[in-house]
Amino acid sequence: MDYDVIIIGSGAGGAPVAHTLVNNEIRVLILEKGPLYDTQTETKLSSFKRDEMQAYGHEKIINIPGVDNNGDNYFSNFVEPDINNEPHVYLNKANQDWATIEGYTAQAVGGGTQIYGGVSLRFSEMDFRLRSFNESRTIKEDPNGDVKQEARDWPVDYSIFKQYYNIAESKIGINGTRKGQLKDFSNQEDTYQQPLTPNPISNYAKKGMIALGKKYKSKNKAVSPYRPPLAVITENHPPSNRNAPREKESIKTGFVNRYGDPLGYKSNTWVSLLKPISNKANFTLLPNCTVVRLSSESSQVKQVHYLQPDGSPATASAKIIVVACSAIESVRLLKISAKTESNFDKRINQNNLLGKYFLTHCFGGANGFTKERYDKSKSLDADWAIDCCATEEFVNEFGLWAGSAIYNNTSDSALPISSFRTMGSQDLDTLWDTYETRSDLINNKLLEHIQQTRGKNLSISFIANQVPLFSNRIELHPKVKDKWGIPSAYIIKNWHSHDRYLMKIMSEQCRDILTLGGISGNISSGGVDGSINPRARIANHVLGGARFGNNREDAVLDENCRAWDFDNLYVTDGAFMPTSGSANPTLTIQANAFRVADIILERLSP
Amino acid sequence: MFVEEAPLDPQYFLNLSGKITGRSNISFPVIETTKSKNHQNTFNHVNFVYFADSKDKINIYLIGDFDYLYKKRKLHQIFLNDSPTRFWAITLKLPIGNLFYYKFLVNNKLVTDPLNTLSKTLDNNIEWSVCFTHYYKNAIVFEKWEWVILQRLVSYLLPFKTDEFDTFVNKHQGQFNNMTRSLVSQLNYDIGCVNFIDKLIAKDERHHIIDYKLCLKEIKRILLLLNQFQEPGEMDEYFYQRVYEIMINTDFSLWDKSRYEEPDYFIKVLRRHIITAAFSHPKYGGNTLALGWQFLNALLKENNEDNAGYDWRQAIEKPLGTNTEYAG
Repeated sequence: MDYDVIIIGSGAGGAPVAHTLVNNEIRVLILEKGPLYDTQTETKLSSFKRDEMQAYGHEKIINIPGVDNNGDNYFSNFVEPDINNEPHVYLNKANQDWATIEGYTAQAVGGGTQIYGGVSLRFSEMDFRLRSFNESRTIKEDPNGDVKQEARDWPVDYSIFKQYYNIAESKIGINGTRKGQLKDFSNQEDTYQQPLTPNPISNYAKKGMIALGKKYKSKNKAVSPYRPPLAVITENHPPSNRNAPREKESIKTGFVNRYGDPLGYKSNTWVSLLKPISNKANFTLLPNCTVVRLSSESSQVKQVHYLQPDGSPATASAKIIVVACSAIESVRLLKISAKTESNFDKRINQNNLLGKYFLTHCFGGANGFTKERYDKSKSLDADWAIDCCATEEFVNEFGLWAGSAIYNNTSDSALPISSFRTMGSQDLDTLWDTYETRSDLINNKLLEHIQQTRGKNLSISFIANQVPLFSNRIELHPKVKDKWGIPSAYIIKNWHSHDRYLMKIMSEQCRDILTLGGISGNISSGGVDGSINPRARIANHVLGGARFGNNREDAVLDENCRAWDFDNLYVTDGAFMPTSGSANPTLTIQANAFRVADIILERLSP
Repeated sequence: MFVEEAPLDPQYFLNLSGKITGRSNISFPVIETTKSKNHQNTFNHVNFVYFADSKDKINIYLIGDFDYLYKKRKLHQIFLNDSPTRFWAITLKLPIGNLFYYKFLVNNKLVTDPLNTLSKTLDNNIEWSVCFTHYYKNAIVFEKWEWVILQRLVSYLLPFKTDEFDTFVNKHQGQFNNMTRSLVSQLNYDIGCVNFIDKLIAKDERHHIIDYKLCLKEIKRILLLLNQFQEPGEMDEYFYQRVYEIMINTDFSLWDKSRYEEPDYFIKVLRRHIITAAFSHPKYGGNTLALGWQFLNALLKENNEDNAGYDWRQAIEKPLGTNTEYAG
């Protein structure tokens, strides 16, 4: 074998594993489906541009036999797959099969971390023990007791994750403030870098959060807002050999969410974890290579079958295989492998849980308009956050099963085209729709609209746990295939009644933040369940489907994220989560990947 | 013209493999900005790719009117580590603002580019593949009369033919040199939006060519019906307003449904194109001289320099913007 470990995927789940192992002289191969786009150098420009045409690009038309929205248009990002080549299909509320771009993070070295907004919150301690927390509680809007039945404690709790959060924060490169966060950071070096000046529009959010934090106290003390941790360096970052610019505020460009950073200040896993090891002799990175299946003998995954950039088949083998392609694609890979080989099938499907309990987040928020105008292009993704809706007191008051992180979005609609493109848009499949129907927005009316709305839009978002349901699942579509002839992922999911209730409560808090902050006039609010395509919306939070646990009958993976009946197969992307957490998942995926990396390292060390 | 070949970057072409092997017609060659020492980007890197049937060696050359036609340039096989792939490629440094005809000579046979849907059959009945670099301004899809009508319609829909824009242009004329001053006054029609649309539907949204062709023909017919005394280009804006209302209200008493069934659909497409054109990077052909961004900034400042506008320059590369780090 040429390698000790093969890692499939180079994003939040794969890169930390590679980083740890390579730095300990383990021979590692990463197979990444997407391209390798580097940052700008002295002699070469980056393929990532500050160019709104990269965020969504030109219109494409769905041309996929077998889907009911064939012929509809779609817009995809520069580093998202073209869904005509690799569709995800979901069952919409009219029970039609619709192709969607939702459910993909990004396809490039670095994965979704190339284009995310960078919010890097830790999960709360409660998030790790939702089963035991809810055992004796009364949960509203859950007539069948699904929460108590389906909630799970993680087999590894915050006390273990804590150190790995710290490692991830240090190695990735994150700015923010600890003070105000209601998580345990005790005895840990504060590795956050100094946040940049908030955009002045965010003062409304801060004021509103202060007021809400006084209303919903924790242990009788007002909860304070804090600067959310963002995966963007603002100071020199020695672990990744990156230097911040002299004019730090120049980092704030508005080209954040949905954009790769040509200068490398955004801490995607390529610049922060993989580029620093890229010259090591024991590390091989093969971008543009698509893994199509795994094959096995007994309890060993023996070969990784992949396609080279021109479609030529190839194989590789290693002692240990780590799958980290983003949950939907990881589950898909495992299911395809099971379909092609009975031993793999028997072992990965030792229970019937692969693909089941697929998770995203309950999310939504509120949106209003300020009287004054601000230049929102001078921004990063979020300026203020508050944990007052993640406390036991809060969830008890409202009969919720879990809490929520709340933060303001600063860079949304900051750029000219995006403010029209995302007008009224509720997911990636409905871009432009609202603007296109507003045939009145021309000439002077268009001018008025720009003057009334531009630089005044303020939104507050929440991210909350979604109730795990067996019926929310990833399957292989019976008919639709990708360009290589491999069955596409079929996303079947819906919202539980408690999810809807939770989203209603949380969006009301977001609305309150706006009004308490001084926003008057028309405020819209709601959860994603109220959108046109409520079942589609995933917002790049792709989780579950191969949950870990202590009981082989109740989990696909053991507590080390190893498939129960395989000796050498691990899954380290978001698929491992049995509950989705009350915050953006990336930091937790990274922390877990560092944790599993240590476990693998111990296995491989002499 | 002296045409330089740029050093081959195998990783760049391997990064395009997903698009090359895809089902969709992604338009090649891929045009990239170049890094220049003095921020004067007068050349693009134009990246040509040929996807062969096998990894075997083939004789493949590029010919085009960027050079003497007898001069053939050899494509290079792309290797993955030391293994050959099915990709053959070449990168040429070509001047911006130009259009070129080219073909591949594959094992002594001339073929158009299988990865490029844009082609033209010349008067001698020979078909050539077509590519154009950034900032190209001449029409590719639209005929002159189509361009004129579209420009009038677009200028009606945009807010630039308003008193606010006139004020802005007058206020800022001092900042433009003599060469661009006349351009500024010409450009207050559509600031390059029609040019952008022409390039967009020539290459990436070819599925909308038919919509534009059919609708512009019908728009012309209606304009002449409403006003038989003038050419469309000379007509007052009132007539374009009438056409717009007919289309969004699907007034089939005037609009001939048999020629184009959903005029309101076309207006949706057009309005999306206009906004994209007005505010996208000028290299795509619209937002000429960044007038769209400049206008937005001036509009939002509302004649008060203390007001927050849209400081687009701080993020964008020189010479268009002022960012000292980001090179484009």
